Amino acid sequence: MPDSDDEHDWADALRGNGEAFGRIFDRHRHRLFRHSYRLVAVTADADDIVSIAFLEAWRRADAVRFVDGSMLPWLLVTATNSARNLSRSGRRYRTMLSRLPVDQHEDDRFTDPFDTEAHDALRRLSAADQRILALCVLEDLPDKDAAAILGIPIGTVKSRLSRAKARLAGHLTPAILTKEASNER
Amino acid sequence: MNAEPQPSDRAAEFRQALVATANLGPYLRRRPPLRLAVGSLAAFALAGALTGGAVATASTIDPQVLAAQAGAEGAAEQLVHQEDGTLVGQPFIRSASGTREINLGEMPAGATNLVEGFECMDSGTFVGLLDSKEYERLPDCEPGGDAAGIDTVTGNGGHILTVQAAKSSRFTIWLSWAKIPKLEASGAQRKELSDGVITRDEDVAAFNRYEGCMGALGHPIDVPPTSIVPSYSIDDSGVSDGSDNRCYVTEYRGVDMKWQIELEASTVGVASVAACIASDKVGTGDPYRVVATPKGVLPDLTGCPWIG
Repeated sequence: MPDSDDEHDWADALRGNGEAFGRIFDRHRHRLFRHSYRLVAVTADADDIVSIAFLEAWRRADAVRFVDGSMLPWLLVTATNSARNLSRSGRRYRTMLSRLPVDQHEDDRFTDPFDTEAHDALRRLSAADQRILALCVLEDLPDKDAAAILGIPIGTVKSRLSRAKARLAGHLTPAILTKEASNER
Repeated sequence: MNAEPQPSDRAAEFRQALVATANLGPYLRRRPPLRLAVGSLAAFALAGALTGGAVATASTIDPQVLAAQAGAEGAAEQLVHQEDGTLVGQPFIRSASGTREINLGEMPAGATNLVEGFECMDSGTFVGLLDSKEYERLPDCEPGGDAAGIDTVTGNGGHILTVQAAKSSRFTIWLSWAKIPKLEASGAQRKELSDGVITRDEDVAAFNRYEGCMGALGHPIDVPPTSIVPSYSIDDSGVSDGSDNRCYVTEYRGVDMKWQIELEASTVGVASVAACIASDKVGTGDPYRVVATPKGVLPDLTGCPWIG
């Protein structure tokens, strides 16, 4: 089922059809988890961020936006914001989150020092830089979708993105830059 | 790379919770925040503070308020610094909730702009208006979310800044007059933009001027072999002391934006440009490492007809 069905399912969910909300969760939870994991590098925290993003969607239903019928960009932005300060974001849902079973994940997998360094560098950037990199680089969304969800012109997305990349690179060592360059070849 | 996460008990249980939540009944939209009549707005009379009075602070030791004030102030001061600006008079900071109107007074001599720093302490939508004209809207602000801006104030006489928010939505705002040097595109950049089309040569020339500008200000930037859109890195000090903003605006910003849009708008796009390059017309054979040459030595792209 395509992402563009989100808008219909969301409307159904708001009318009281719980299964429609479940379908949106099914559609996006894996991608949202991968996105969150790249931001926090701890599986349990990534699980919480996924949950918070969906709970926030329900709590702030009036604020949910769609891009070409998909809720995913909004969920990604919400997850990125939550990841910046997980303890504060999760405070509202602490009771519910604590009731959920904790998955037995394999050991956290950010064992590659390059990944760790890139992750740390990302977290040192401003919220605006993190959002644009999360959407356009980590999630590879088209610039027009990022522009729509962030509410800025596409030219600004392009300029901000290249500048955010430059600032990110400023936090990385030559070794990781060399590795990234070789990955692109 | 990382393995695909497996479905889990947690996911199943959480899904059940979502379904049950929605099944409870139609979502009841919250009433929109009440819009108070101007006469009933809680107003701050801040003209004195903004034009030389003491910094006003909330009489509280609430850690969240203190953190928000630090956040708002930090965001605004960082922006002023990046723009090479200086504050004029004493800044004002206040934490409040709901819709608030702030009397800014007249812009003092020597000031060119109003600087705002903002942090929300509760979730919600916050709208900033300057003399009744909206300048900032934060539709989904989360606690701790901050924003900063530099605005032009027009017209003589007193000015009014209004923050619109739901009655229970708390925020902190930091305000100051400031003198912000007006940065304009250099003559070279204006010339590159004048015909409405940016060529590859013009983009590289503008980037090289930006790079030279940064170097002259003591912040040489690291330029690895670059792609169609230059990749480079900027160190923190070059950003925080305003050098980067100054060099980018004067030498590169307009060209950079236009060049990137042209590439995407092109029917051939970056991939085809890369294919052209890979076809050895420019001799690298590597589609994504285009300018693996010393600075200023450009590949000859004339074999690719859609390039300048």
